[in-house]
Amino acid sequence: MKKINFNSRSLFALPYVIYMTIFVVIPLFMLLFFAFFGEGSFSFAEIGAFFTDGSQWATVGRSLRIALVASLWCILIGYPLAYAIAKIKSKTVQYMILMAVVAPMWINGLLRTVALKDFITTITDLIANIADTEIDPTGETLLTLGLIIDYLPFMLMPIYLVITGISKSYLEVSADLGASPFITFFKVTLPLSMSGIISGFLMVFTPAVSTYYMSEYLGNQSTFMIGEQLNTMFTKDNKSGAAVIALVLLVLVGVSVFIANQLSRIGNNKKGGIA
Amino acid sequence: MGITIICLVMAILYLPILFLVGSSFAGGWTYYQQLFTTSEYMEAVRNTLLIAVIASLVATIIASMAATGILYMSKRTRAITMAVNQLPVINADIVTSFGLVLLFVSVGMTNLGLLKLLLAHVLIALPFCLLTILPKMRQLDANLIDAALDLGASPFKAFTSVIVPQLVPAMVQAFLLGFTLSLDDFVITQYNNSGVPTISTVVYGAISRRDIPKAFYALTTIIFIVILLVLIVMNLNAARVRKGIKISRKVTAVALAAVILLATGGLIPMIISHFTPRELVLKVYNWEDYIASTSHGAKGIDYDLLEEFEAYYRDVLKEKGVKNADKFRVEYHTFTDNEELYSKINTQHSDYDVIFPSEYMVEKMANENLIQPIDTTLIYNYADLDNAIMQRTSDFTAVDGNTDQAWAIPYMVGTVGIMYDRNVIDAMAEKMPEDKKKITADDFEALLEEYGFGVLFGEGGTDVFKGHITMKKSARDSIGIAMIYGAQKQSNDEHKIDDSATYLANIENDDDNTLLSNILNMDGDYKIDLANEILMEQIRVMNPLYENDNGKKGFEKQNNRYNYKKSNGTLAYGLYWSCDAGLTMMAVDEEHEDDEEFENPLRFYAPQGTNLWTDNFAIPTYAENLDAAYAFINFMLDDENAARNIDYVGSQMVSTGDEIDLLKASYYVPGYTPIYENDDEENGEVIDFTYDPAETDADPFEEYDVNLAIAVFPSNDNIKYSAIMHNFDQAKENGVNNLMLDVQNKAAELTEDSSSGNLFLIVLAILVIAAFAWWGIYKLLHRRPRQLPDTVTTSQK
Repeated sequence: MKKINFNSRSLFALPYVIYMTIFVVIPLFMLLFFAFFGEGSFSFAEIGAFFTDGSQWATVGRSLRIALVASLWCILIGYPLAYAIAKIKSKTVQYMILMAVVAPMWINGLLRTVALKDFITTITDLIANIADTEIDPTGETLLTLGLIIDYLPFMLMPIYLVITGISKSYLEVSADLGASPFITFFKVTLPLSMSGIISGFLMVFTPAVSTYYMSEYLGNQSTFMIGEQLNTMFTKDNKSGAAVIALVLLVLVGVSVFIANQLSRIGNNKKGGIA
Repeated sequence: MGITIICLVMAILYLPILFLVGSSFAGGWTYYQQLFTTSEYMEAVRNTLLIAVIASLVATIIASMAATGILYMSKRTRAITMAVNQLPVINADIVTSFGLVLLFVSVGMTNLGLLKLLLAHVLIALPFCLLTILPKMRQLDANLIDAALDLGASPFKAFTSVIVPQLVPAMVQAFLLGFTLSLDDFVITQYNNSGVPTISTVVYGAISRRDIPKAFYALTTIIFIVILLVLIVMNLNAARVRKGIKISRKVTAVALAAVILLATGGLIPMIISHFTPRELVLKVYNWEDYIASTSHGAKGIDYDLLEEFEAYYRDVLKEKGVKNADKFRVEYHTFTDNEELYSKINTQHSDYDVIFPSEYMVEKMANENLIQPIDTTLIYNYADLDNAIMQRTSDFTAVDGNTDQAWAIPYMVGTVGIMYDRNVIDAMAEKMPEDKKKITADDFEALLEEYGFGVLFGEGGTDVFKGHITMKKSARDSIGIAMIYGAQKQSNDEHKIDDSATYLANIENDDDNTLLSNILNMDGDYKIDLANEILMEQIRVMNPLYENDNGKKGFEKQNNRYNYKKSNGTLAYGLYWSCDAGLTMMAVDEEHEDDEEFENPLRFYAPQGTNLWTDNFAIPTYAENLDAAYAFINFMLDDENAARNIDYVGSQMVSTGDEIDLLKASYYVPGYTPIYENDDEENGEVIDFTYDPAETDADPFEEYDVNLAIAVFPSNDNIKYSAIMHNFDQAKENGVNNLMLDVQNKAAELTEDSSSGNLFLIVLAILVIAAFAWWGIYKLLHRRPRQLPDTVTTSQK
């Protein structure tokens, strides 16, 4: 029965499949094409130029470090927050708080970034006026703060979902077996919520490592990131150069997904990966 | 404990937003008024909402259909589909956007406007919608659809009447998620936008030249109040549902109708504008904040040239007997750089009637037939335009074999020079340690005369200003100036310029400026390697701040603090466009308007032999309202309008005439505001024209404060001994841009302070290791009781 109707029913997915093929799969091949054939004929020139430049590698390293620090902060803040929310008794209050965390996303991302900078500079200007010095708040610290504030909801949501999904019976069993709440947390809740942490990490790390407008407004010239470089090349119509950077970002993200998958396999043998 | 954490995090998340809400009321209701009366802002808000609603609606429908289909796919197809679905979720925004751009460019999809943005925004929402709906779909009873099919329903009927009703809650969730993501997005919108203003693009354009328009703070406040209401309503509903009261179908229907109304309501004005006869619309595409028009963000003036033009041209049309002449309007959009303009005309074929490309872009567009020659006989005061400038610019505006035509007419003209802050320089000289050279502001001015651009590269002991100067991120400007300095240096064999006079003499003896042109354009003996060497050395010696356009606020800021006299700014001097210098000096003057003692410490100096930049009127090949285009150019070049425009924009136009002279005169007399409405004779006011543009030697310098005038009106000598940077071929263009990226990479590498980040990582690593160690020790210590579980549980309980 099912076999016979297979085609007609899966046809419902046809618009989706067509759309995804055109707008997701083909562009990836276009990236490859432009990276190698951008100059008109096949060449490794653009890629070679990227790999032989030392300052370039410093930029990749810097982007990775900034994104890593921001993502780890997000875990450090997001996990206790998700835990605290999940422990609230009333579901209504839980949803209210969750909505409140996500609500700022209704304001455009760029607008929020600018508002943050405006806010911080107003404060530092005040301090500078009182202390009679010059304070330039932009830099790696402000950039990291901006990344944390902007991407915290992405960390919070998966962790919250996983924590609320942990069956209460596990915790009861643990308590019955004599574990203190502290031990229960470290031996039951934390390992079980590892998959949430890892998918949250990916949701934060990827946009953070590739950001360009945040590093442009919140950072200074010592936080030059790889996303800014891609953006400059794109605006200057250097498509093959930009395609190479895009590929590098793709590989960075791919590798981090792979590592995360491996980690979550170790953490949880039965469940598969994230992506 | 839990409450404390929640409150603390909420405080961090919401402080900037509360600040934003607070400052939206800083001007009473002005910002709100601005938001609703500025057509550009309202259009942006409408487009943003429209795109978000339609895109997430489409994505929800496609995703719910797909969720049905995926359940019936073979295991392998399903795995592949889900993997592809994860790609845009996991992939970086910027990579996805860039891939989309490549796709659109390759298939030549041009001028799709809103449709393109819609397609792109569906991509933002679709994968997340599917991820929201699919789990709910899995919980549905698969037999239901079989039953419907067996009972003779068509697959479509089965989908709409069996599946959809059960999926509604998940679909609403998916829609809301898609809506949120679409509103939040900046990158995909920015990359795939073709002339559709949205909140993202308007804010981005505005902050790249000036402050963020506060009207958007007002908008944010409104959005926030809406969110609050939605939150309250949803929670009330949720509470009711739990109490067993179902949300009536009517409520759902009303909500759905509201959404659809909103969507179509947004579409109607767009459709109407689509069907307005093209002769009743003039489409203008200009730089951000580059026209004296209060309805387009100009501040501090009480006139609006665009509105005046609309009124004027309506009368013209009426005289011609055109139907609906009163409906004529100017559709005015803005861009932030030449490349954005180019892509809009080249790839989208946007039908703008007047555009404002810079000199090299005029050449590029003329080469590619993207602009059409302007018939100069139709420009009524063409013969009166400033001779010196028109002569200099003729090397890119001249049309071969036709003297009655020009590719473009200069709109704004200026030089590249050095802006410096006398206060900061003096203060630094005072604080300079004994073993270092003290350079006061007067010394600095002497050095400027002597070395010109050399002061940016440490000549004459100016390396004591290391870390206190600015260069431009813009590749053409920084590299052009580096080339000029490099050539100066090379002109002396010993690689130091104790003799820049020789170089200047060379420039001055060179009648048609080919030498300077070769240097600036890296032609002939001059190669880009020279700039490379100079700029890399500059990073080491001067450690400049590479500012993009919004970085130029530094000079303004350090002079506008209320105790500016006491505190020391950090910027001594930097590479500046004359227009920006004029704008900054005006802003500082304005801030201290009431302070009689205040003397503006900002000065601008353009060395001889510099780069002349122009932004020009041009008419694209795809223009559709030529009559209005010519009328507009004529209107802007009229000396009265030009004078008012100059007074706002802060840089010179090519118009000449009484009004311009009056304006120039006004710049020399502090506190004098030119009167435009009255003729001088009727007014009875006698104005002494001490400044004659033809004779720069007539020296008004001693009598009046002319510093602003120097920035706004380049002297004839400056224009005479200047050259234009031409359009480069793709290889050279890439070379120039890549060099600037290398400079930025290098500068970041040298100045980067990785200590805090690394410290954090190290502390975290230590903590993790400690935790593992503690866990190991704990396990070791508790190994024994584990072997006897019974006793442990009883004893501990």
